[in-house]
Amino acid sequence: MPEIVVQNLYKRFGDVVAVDHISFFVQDGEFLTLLGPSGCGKTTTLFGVAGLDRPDGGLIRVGEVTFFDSASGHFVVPEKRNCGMVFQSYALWPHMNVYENLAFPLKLRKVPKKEREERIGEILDLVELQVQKDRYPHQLSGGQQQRVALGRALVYSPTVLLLDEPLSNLDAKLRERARSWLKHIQAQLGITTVYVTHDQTEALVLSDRIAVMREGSIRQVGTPQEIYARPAEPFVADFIGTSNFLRGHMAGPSANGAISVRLETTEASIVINTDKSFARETPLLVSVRPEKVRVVDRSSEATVPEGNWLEAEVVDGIYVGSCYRHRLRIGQTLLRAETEAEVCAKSVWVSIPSDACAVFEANTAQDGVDETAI
Amino acid sequence: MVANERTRPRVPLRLPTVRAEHLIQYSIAGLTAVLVLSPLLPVLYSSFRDRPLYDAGGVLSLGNYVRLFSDPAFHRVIGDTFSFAVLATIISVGLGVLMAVVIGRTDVPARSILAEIVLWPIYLSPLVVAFAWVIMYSPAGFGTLLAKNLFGIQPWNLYSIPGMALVASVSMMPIAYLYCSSSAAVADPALEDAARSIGAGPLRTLLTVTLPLMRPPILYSAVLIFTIALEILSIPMVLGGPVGINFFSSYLYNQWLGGARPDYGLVGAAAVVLLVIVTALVLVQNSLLRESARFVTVRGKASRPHIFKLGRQRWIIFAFICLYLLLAAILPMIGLIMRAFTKFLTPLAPPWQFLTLNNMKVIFSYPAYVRSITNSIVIALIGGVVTTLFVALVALVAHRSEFRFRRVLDFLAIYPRAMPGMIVGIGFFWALVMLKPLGPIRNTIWGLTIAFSVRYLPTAFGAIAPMLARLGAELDDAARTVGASWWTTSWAILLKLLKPALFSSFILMFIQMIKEYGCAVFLVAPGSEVMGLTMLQFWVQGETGPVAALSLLQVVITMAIVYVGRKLFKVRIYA
Repeated sequence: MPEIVVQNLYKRFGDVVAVDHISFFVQDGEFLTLLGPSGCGKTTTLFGVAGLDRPDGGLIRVGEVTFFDSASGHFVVPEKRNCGMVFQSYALWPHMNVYENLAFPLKLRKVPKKEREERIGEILDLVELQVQKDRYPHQLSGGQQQRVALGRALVYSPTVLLLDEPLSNLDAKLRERARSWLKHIQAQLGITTVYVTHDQTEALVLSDRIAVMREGSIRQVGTPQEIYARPAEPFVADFIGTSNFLRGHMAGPSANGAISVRLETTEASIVINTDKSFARETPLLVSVRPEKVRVVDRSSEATVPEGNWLEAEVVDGIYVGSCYRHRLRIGQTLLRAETEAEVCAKSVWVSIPSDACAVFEANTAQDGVDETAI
Repeated sequence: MVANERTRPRVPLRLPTVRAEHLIQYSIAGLTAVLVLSPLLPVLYSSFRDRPLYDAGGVLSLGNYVRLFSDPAFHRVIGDTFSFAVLATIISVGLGVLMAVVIGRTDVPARSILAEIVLWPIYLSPLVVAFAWVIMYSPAGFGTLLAKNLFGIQPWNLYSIPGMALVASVSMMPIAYLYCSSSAAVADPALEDAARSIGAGPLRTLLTVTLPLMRPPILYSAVLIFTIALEILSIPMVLGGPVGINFFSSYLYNQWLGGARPDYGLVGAAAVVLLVIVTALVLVQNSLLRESARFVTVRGKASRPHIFKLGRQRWIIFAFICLYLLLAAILPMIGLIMRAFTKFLTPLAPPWQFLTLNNMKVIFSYPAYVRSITNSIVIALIGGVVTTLFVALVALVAHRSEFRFRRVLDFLAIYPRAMPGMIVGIGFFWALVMLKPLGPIRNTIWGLTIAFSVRYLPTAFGAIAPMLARLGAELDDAARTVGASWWTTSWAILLKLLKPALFSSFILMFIQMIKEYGCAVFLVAPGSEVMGLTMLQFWVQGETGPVAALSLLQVVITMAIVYVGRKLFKVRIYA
């Protein structure tokens, strides 16, 4: 069974630790995304699995085969790993046409001509490039090149599929189409896949599970829903989607396992549903998604409604097509809110829903979160 | 609908063992080391030994150096060599910069044609240029006599250090021109716009912004030209010989071939002195290249440099350039052609009175002449192909493998830049004498081919390595992941993509090897003559006519291959 096991993978370039003892597991047929900002070590990790970068420590195993084990000094060269890889730049060989690009891996495997043609025919059908098979890479559009690259990575039935930001060179519209197409093919073939990207939307749409990476380590692994709704730390909340951050202190427990947080910026306290517990007066950071924030004109609601309602002033608002984005000021803090209708009032009530918030200890979150950048 | 991929069986790969690849890599690196070190070590060793390497019982001493530095003739040689090299550098670089600015950056008429003609001398052997100048401007030359008749006195003396520097500059000016014009062509025009916008006139902008920005190519080409001037053999042999002016190279030549019993120790010591100087200069060149990052003016944004308007003066400058090209290159070449087809060449009588095909007939009736032509062509063809392929492999190991000593290999491949051709020749002479298994190729053209290859290893490397660097590493990575070994990746992907660079390298090698004579001096034997050296030897004997004819043949062969390279393979000859 070709599952991928990575244990304690370690890699440094000079003084820089690129991958700092990371471990993860990809089930047979699963689509795992390594997601993180540039320089977080995700590509180094992927190249480690492919054998293109020799790690300094750890273990990599695919199915029954150990690719790399620093304990025994065992290292399998990339050409013996039978991985299918799609590169960010596609890396199509410019002196070969589409057909020859696909044929090369099969020729290396001495596949008889007849079977070779059958396999290439099937793959060309799969990536919808039957018409373009005699063209050279420079005669293809970006999207077509990307499909050739995928076809070449699949034509020899690799054990696992490794994708290094394969959609980042496509324009926005095409990327969206390629995304759903890629997801479809992966599901159809059921091939174990590791996908590297810095694009959180891509990760959310494509993945069975996402591993969020930062500075060489994995910060959270989970399904897209888990990662989005229950980020494990402020960095994840900030990196996946958009989040507002509010500083405060633990005021005390509230009803039904919820806690009460006294915000720094106002006198008010808000109640948050969480399974975490903190000591009294612990500095906290509360994150809330802009689309969860509700805004009500204060002149229409004279009294404070029930729940986490705070007084705020509207700073400005922009129209982005699908919604209005407003910046609101609560005390000294700015808060982003997305609303369906434009908010014309100056003074408003904003609601921070108790179960749409994540709460973290503030001292663990010194870096990575930019609260003022709105 | 698509067939289920998973039903397709995986086909196992049969791959060469990693050990086989190591064997290839170690062989290439080992061969490079042997090729580069085998001329170097014997030269060093012979300079410290009190008798020739083939005589037993030698002792190591500094005796050779003591004798060398106490020889007053050698003092004169050092003085003359350096004054010549300095003067030749100043003239070449001065003219080169001027041409680069005028042709590259002003509205002088017929710019693209001038840009082409200015480069022509680069294809010619300096030896041929020297012959041509002697035929035209020596005290008994056509042009000199003509001037004498007109003015009553001999207006110049070619057989002097300034005269020699001038002739050398004709061959070397294109080097300065190439470096400076490529930098002038890519300069960021915004830097000049900035100067113009604060009120500087065109001339002032040129002097205060454009020229200072060209400082790196000016300095680099100056050091390069100075280095070439130090080791040039044709000039002192052809122009210094008649009046007894000797340079380093002709000193080595005369010490080796002059006496009945050559003083090998003295030659070794002089060669080491030259080697040390040239190595130091090459180190200077390298540090200049690194330093030049400070002057990076090329940005990603594509832009065309501005053209300075010269106004009516452009015709004066155009006339000046044409006059230079006419006097320096075209007239001497016409003289050479005329001399090749006449019995005498004199302004006192019209040349058609002396027209003859005799010179050509002489060449084809002497076996030594004919052999020198066929040998040169065989060496240039085979040497060009073999060197190009070998250097391609060296570049692949040095830049595209996990070979442990790849940095050492990279250094070794470009080290011969610091070895003057004559020293490569002396070194291989000793290596072939001392390494018994190589005995059979001694005195054959294959020994010469190897020496020429080593001499031009860095040139081929310079033609191939930059293109290799432009091929993204992910092309290799992609091949490796789909199952290709390093070796398969190298030949099925990288070598195929390197084809244009390989053609360039071959053409370059061919041009250099058909011209080469300096390192052949010590390796040639009856039967293995090459064109350049044969010309030189017959010239010294006063056989001007056949030498002119042979020179012409060499020029025609070179032009043909340059033409083929440019038309068929779209080769850029100079990189």
